[in-house]
Amino acid sequence: MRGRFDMTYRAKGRKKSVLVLTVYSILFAFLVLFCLYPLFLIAMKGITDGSGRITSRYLVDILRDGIYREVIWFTFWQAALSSILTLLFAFPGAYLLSRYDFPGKRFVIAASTIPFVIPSLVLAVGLIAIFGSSGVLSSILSSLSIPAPDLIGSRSIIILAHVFFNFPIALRILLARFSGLDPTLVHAARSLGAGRVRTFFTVVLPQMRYSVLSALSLVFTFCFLTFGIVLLLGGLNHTIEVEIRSLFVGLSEEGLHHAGALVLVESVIVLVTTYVYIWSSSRVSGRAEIVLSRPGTMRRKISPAGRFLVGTYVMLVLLIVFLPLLMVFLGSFMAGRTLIHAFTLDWYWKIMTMESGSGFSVTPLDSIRNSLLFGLLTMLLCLPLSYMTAWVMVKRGGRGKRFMDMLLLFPLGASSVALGYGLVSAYSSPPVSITGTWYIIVLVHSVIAYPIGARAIYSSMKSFPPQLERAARSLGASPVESFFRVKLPLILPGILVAAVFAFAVSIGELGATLMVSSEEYITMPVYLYRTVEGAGRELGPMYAFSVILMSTAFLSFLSIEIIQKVFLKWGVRGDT
Amino acid sequence: MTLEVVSVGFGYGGSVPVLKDVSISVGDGEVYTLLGSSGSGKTTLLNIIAGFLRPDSGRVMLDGEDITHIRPERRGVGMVFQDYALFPHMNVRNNILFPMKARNLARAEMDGRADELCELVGISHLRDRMPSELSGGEKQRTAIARALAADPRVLLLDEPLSALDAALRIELRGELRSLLSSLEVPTLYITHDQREAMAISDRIGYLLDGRIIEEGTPEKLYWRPERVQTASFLGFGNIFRVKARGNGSIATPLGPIPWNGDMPSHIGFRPDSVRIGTDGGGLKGKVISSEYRGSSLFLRVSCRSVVVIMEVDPHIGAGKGDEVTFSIPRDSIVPLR
Repeated sequence: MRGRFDMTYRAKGRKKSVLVLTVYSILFAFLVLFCLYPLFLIAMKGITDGSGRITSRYLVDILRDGIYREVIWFTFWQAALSSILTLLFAFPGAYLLSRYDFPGKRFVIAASTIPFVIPSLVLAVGLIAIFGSSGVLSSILSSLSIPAPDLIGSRSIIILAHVFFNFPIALRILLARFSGLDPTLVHAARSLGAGRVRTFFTVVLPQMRYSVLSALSLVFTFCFLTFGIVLLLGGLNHTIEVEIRSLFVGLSEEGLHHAGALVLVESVIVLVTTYVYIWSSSRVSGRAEIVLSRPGTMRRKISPAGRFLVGTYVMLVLLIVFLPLLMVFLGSFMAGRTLIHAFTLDWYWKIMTMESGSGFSVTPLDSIRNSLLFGLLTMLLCLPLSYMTAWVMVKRGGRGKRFMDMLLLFPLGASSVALGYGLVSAYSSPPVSITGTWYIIVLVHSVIAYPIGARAIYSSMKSFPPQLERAARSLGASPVESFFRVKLPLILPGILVAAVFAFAVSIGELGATLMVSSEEYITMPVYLYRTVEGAGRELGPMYAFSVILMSTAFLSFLSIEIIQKVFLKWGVRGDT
Repeated sequence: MTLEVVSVGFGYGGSVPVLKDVSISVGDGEVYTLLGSSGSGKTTLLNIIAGFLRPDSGRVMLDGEDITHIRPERRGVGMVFQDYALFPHMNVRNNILFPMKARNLARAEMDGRADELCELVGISHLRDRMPSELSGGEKQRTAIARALAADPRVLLLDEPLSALDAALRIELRGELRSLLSSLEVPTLYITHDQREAMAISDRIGYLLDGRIIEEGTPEKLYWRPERVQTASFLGFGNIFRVKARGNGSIATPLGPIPWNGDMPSHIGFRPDSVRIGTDGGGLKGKVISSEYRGSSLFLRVSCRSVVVIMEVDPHIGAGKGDEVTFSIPRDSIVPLR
């Protein structure tokens, strides 16, 4: 029906398509100037030599050289392992959450959105607080006189962090599908003589396959492009992103060419996984929306075993989401290094009063001000971009749609480090010189954030019933009036969610910001990273600073919840 | 005021056009129903009249004014949508105020008019409810009140009863009829339900494959349709091909009957016009199946080379295998083409 009504504007087709074309041009101009061209420059480095001749030397190098090969291989298998473990952990949970109703279910589901807005750096600091050499785990173990392994710098901590960080995303994707399954199909299977297990494997599981694939490919992509977590926790283990960064910073001409080649290899793999993600999520049938409870959830009949399973799982979820954050929070108020210590506000005081110097040209307060400012500006720039992207995605159908959608959402899978470096190298000399300015930061944050916002707006635009606009028109409202009085109020939740995401991405971004920011415009994550890396590793101020970063992000998360609660009344919501 | 649709043609770009040369004319205060099964092009025609679609050919006229190219909001065409399309973020009152706000009426005037309309459709007590808190019938009344609040020059209703359950549908049918006939604008009503069409309309047009193949009053279409397809859609269970025999009679599968005037290609009669009994002469047949329907008995009777369907008094109690005699009153036989 929708397809048909899209075509109902056929007679006005020419006028419409001019508008669509204009919007496409604006979006592609932005995309080409600030994403594709800079990345192209970097990638070209990988296949040309110093004098600009095409060569396969560097590609051959990175595939043959032990170190680069190891980096590529490690990036690949850690992403594969992380995503499979994430799925193994999220799948049963999503199943349980869709089957059982229990008090606090809404809270658990809401809590699972937190990792969307909490910067990965904060999670890394949280894991340091738990698993680090002076962390909680080692204090507990050493008090029991068991030797504590120092996990920081190991490969296991990277995978652990990835599972921690990504499982809520997988949980939400699977839960949305599970709660969209038609319960009568299960009832039908049971009444036709299939047992519980058989029903699960023959009726439930086959309906889940595209969701599983889409969660798997998304988590894989995230883990493959991981930067902050590996930078902070990985020690000598480099993923492609981290390696690229050290090559860029290394400033050797040879290194730059190798970085270019690495970007090429990375892009090819990410292109494949992103395509798998977009393809599989488009095949997920039904409404991809989390339904809190529906007929068929077993509200009344919950067996003791079921209660135990659900209880354990919920505890685990809460632990995973909150424990690292809680540890950071507690650590920021503790005077000493071990488990229980006197309460203190010293660390916060130190941050407030810290002067610039000692490796920093700005004070912590400056970085907070910078981040807030860039966050707001990114939000302002992203909203029109996200809105236009969502709009053309809804409007345009037919041939090549999936390709265009993928192109529009391209930055989702782009290497942020390469993007940052590419922007700097593309626009560092006249006529266009934006290196070191504040707006290069806003630009790169917007490039990274707008596709996420576009998805939020897209999903609320999709659930907007087109006949409401027609009703408004037939009642005498002009197109402008019907937009402002009918469409906008109803898709507002999606727009607000997009705004919050843009802000959150900007607040937490590290990879690209490290490449583009000058000393003057250091942001919170950059400051935090330097504190962690800096000599001495004084934990107190690091925790305190993380808490400030986390609270900023958490406030944006809270505003999403409030927005959704307020707007949920009339049932149009923007989900990720 | 009159609504005129003049030879409208429309296609969605496929090879088969959805509407082919459709013309209708609805007068002041008249309720005209477009009857047709799904896919017949009813909704497309409504969308053309409302201005959401532009026809490939033909015109839409309102009071002699050509409105084919006027924007939807300037047409003065009120529409009640199939699923009502109430604005979910506005309460009943604000839904009804919406079209008046769009016309920038004075506040007091708007409030008065809104109250009046709520009264008219009987939803005064629901004014502060949100659409999600309304029942199907209440939503429907709200949608009608909202459409009327725009002071439309013509009212379009797209299957306004189809979202309701059967009992409520029958109840509201009568109400809707008296409401619509009290309005002084032409009303175009769309449905696929022939009973609803009969109950609501002054005139019915039967739309098939993008053409109005027949139109007339409910009585005419019910008792004396002219087209085979119309008759079949309206419950003529018995339609037979006939041949001219010369000498003023036609040959039917049930025997020859005398005939004056134009030779039809088919004849038909309704199942309920068959008389069953033994009163002399008539036709003999064997009951193939009998289905009890409360107030009547449906029989399928094999007679000569055909099967005759009849709806008879249930007290006759004929069962499968029984022999029955029956006759068909001459004046209930309708010529069809």
